[in-house]
Amino acid sequence: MMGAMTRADNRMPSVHPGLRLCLLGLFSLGCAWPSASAAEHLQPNFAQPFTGNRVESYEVTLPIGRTDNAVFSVPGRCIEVESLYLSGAGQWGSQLERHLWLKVINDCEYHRVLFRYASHPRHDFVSGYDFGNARFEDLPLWPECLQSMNDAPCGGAPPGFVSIPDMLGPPPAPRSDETDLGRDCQIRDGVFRGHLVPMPGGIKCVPDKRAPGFRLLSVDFADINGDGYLDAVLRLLPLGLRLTRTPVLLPLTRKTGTESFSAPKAFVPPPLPRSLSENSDRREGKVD
Amino acid sequence: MTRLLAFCAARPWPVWVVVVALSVLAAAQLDDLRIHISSEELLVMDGPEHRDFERIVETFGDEQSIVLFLSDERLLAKPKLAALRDAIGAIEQLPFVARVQSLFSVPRLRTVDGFLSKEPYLAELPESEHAAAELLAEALKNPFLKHTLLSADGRAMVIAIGLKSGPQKFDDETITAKVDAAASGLSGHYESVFSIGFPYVRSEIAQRIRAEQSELFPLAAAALVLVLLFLLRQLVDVLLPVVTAVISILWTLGAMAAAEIPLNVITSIAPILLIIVGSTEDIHLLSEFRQARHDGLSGPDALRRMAKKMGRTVFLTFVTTFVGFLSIGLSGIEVLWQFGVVSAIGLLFNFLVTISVIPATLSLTGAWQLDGRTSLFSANSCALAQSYWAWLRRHRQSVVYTVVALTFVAALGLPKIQVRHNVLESLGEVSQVRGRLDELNQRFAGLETLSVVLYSGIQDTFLKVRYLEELLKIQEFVEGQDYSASATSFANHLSLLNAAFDELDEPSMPASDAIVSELMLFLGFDHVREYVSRDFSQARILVRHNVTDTARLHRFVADLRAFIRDNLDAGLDARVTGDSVLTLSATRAMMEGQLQSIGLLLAIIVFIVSILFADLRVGIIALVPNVLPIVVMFGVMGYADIPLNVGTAMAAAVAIGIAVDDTMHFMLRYNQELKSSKSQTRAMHTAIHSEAVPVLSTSLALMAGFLVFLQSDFQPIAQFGLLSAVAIGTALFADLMVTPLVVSSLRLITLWDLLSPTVRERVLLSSRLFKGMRSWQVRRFVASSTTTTLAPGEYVFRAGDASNELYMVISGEIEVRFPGHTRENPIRENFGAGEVFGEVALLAADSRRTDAVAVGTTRVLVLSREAMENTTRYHPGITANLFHNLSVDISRRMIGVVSKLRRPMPGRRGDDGRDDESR
Repeated sequence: MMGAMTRADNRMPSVHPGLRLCLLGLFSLGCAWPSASAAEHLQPNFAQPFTGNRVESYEVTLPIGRTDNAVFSVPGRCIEVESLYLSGAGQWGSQLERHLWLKVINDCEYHRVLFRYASHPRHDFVSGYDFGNARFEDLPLWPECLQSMNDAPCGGAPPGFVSIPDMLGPPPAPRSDETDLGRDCQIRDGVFRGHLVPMPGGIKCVPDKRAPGFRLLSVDFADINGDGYLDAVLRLLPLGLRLTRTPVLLPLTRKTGTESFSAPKAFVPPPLPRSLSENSDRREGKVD
Repeated sequence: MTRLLAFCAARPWPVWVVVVALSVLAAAQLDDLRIHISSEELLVMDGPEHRDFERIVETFGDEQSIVLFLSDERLLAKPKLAALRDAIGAIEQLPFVARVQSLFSVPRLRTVDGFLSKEPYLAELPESEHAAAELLAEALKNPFLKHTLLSADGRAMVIAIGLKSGPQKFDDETITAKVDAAASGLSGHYESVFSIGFPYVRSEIAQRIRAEQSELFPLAAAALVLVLLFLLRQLVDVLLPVVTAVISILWTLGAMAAAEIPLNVITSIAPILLIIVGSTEDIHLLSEFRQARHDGLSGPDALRRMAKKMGRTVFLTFVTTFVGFLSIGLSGIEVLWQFGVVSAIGLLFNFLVTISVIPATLSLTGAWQLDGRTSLFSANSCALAQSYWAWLRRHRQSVVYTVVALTFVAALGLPKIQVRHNVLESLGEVSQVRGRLDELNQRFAGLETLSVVLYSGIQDTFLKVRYLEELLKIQEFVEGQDYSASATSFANHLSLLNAAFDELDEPSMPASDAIVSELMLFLGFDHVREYVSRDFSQARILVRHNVTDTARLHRFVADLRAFIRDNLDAGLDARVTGDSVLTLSATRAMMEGQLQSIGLLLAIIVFIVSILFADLRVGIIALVPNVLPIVVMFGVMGYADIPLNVGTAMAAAVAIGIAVDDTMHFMLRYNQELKSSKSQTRAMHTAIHSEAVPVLSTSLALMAGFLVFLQSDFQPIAQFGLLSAVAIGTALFADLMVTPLVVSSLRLITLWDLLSPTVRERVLLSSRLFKGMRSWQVRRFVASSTTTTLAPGEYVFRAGDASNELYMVISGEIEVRFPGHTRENPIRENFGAGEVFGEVALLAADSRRTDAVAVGTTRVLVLSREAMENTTRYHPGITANLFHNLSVDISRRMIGVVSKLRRPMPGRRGDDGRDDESR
């Protein structure tokens, strides 16, 4: 178990800590997949703490001192919540309450990512794509990440992004039945479980129902970097025994209707709350 | 006590007025008397185990529930489920229902398009058999359903109906009736439908208690009347015990109602027991009265004799019976404690009623001879007593062998005794409720539960996988031991949720602490509060099982504790608690209480008898006829497979508390007869003659009364009746065969004898016979004697008489002389106060050579040879002193006699030619 955590810790620094928080918070978001709504129709949903009910807003009681609690509405009072968090309020309470703080912060941050730019995008080359059955050859896999599923950080993914290989287990030894990437190697009905194997001729995949994988929870469309092109924000829920159940966020974009997807340029994930980065001894943005 | 009896005899009408007034007052309370059945009353309520349990209930909650059992080949067929849904809807509307758990409400945790769904398994009714089969297969993967709400074969399920906690406005019978009515529409849809649960058990027990009160009470009264009628043949004597018992029962029930003590399985037998046990002292009093009347005494004189002879005895026997019943409460089990107190209070009331009503009524009705033909105290019966005693002495060796053999055989049965302590045991095998519970236990994990609670004392401990795995480790052990089909914990909740998130087919434990915390954000504390404390420092494993056999349950808990001790993480503590553990604790308390109550009772018997007869050895000897019934009773339990349970645990103490009365009656009677008879044999004849009838009557009446309990539908009560009858029967055998033989060797002296005015005579204490002896030694010796008063000129003995006594003058003067003495033959001796005479012939075992005549009115103390032999046997220290003093006295007198013989006789010359006088 500890080994798994170490591997995950070592692979995650390539992701911007703010995005990590976004990803942590994603598991509480409840937009149904696929949701090819236009940016102006964005109505993010959240999972209400403890009930799991899908709601547009919720109220939550958070500890803000050794003995004090306060009730907040999310996303209505997100600014106040984030301000308190930055002042160190997230340290209070039990283990579960600290996780609750993280969930609330991530819900707030996700809300902020989607609504960062109010402008209407002029180009849309993403909303027509079937991400639930996306082929891996259309997605950025950052092969460097496949090669470095060890202590070294994955240098392929841009800062603040999690790569698909991050969510899969370490590649097994090559086998004869491996499928070439580009044929059957794809997400099916929103799910992929298996391994990606770097081969001399490229990346191959080994579907395996018992292997770690991910489920596409939702796809939201918004211009998240303000470049005038609509971007797709994929929320992926890692599947597998040793992986956290926190959904991760994968923003994708493309400038034409035929090219593969890539990470949106000039996308700067929202800044990590200061208290979270300060509370991380290793400065990787994860609370220790 | 004697004065009290005489007082009541002198004022019959005021006594009756007071008794009637109190009875009316008691009767006015009866409306408030409740029947309350609770499984908790079978437990030890103030022990450490119960405190542990209360803490667990406080932390994890507790809920009373009823289950609706349904079985069918096509359990999930749509029409059946539709009917069931309607029934559940009706049940949910019942005002006492807190929640209903079923496949219609238990969430089926799964992800739908990646999002958690908590919809219940039967959110939609399966349209086809295939869909139903899939649903069943899915549900059986849920550890909170399999063996709990759904049978392993998928052909039976239960609906758990949780009842609201706190004070209930609805009684068990209303609850069960309303649930049955709500579920009545299901019987046409399912092969088998019934509701069951502790409210049903309690309801049935309450109904049976009411039925048995009206059935057993008249039976017990009838048995008592028949036996007494057969033996005593005096209508008044037959009716009076019944009347006093009924009055004391009325008072007892009134007191219970006033003190808000309810009737339950065990206390409900107290009234019936009172009518049986309460009659014994009445019979002894009436018997004494009849004997006095038979001896020709007038009514008032007969009452005085009854008061004198029986007052002290009745009081002492009441004390032993009272202690016997009270000692039952020592077990610590609530219901036994209540029974001990209630029955002891009932006995106290009965005693008060007996000593007031019996003399009062006899003073009014004593002259009535309703049949006028009682022959119990005729000359024939006296001869019969003599023959019996002669026979018993002849065969005393056979009696001893028989007793030893009986004890040995009975003792061999002791290791076979089993302990079974379960409320369901009381229902008997023919009970419908018991049958339903058995079916439920057979197809599901069972209604019995125990909890394993793990503690760390540190917040959030059970949000760590390492400690959750400790829970699973214990669960695996439990399920692998074949004791339980269902052990669930917080870890199962997390496994189900984790599997749902991970889209796995089987429950799977989260692999990291972080995942556990994330999952808990979805689960919510209220969902798991039965299994984990709010701060996650304690977690509970709930083990459902159907182990009702106490020995097996003991092994189960012992194995579980051993496993935990050997395997639990060092950072955790664990306690095993719950209903089953409390049952085991109650079993232990019952066994300890049994030993304590028997031990205490025997110790009190030894104490009372030792004090009463001023001799520890007499107290120990009195045990012999009372230990035998205990051993025989337990032997019967072993051989007849009668377990130790809440009913049979009472039998030994109750039976011995009653049986010792006869022993004491016999011993005290023997003591009384010894005081008026110089012969122990004659005293024994009279004691047997006087006591055989009341002892036989009371014992047979008691046996008949106890055997009435065999009609009870409650097994422990029926077994209690049988064992008590066996114990009383054995005690009767012991009292008729063993007690006479044991006490015949003793010259019993009571404390009152030692304190009597005769013994306190200063002259006795200063007599040369008792020189060098302590006061108590003198008193004991003197108390074993008799006194007699002689008129002037009356002979104490004459020359030629057998010499079986020695005498001491208390007051007056005795002249001892040769027969036909003259002035020429002046050898005589006068004995004044404190002087002893008659000892020479006694010690020489020769007939009397002299006459002993009272000079004036004289009182003498008579010490028989038997008394001296007894004293020599049991108090050799006293007789050593005594014989030394006798030797000194005889020597002194011998010197005196010789001196007289050598005194010069006028005219007689010696060898030296001088006459005696000059010499």
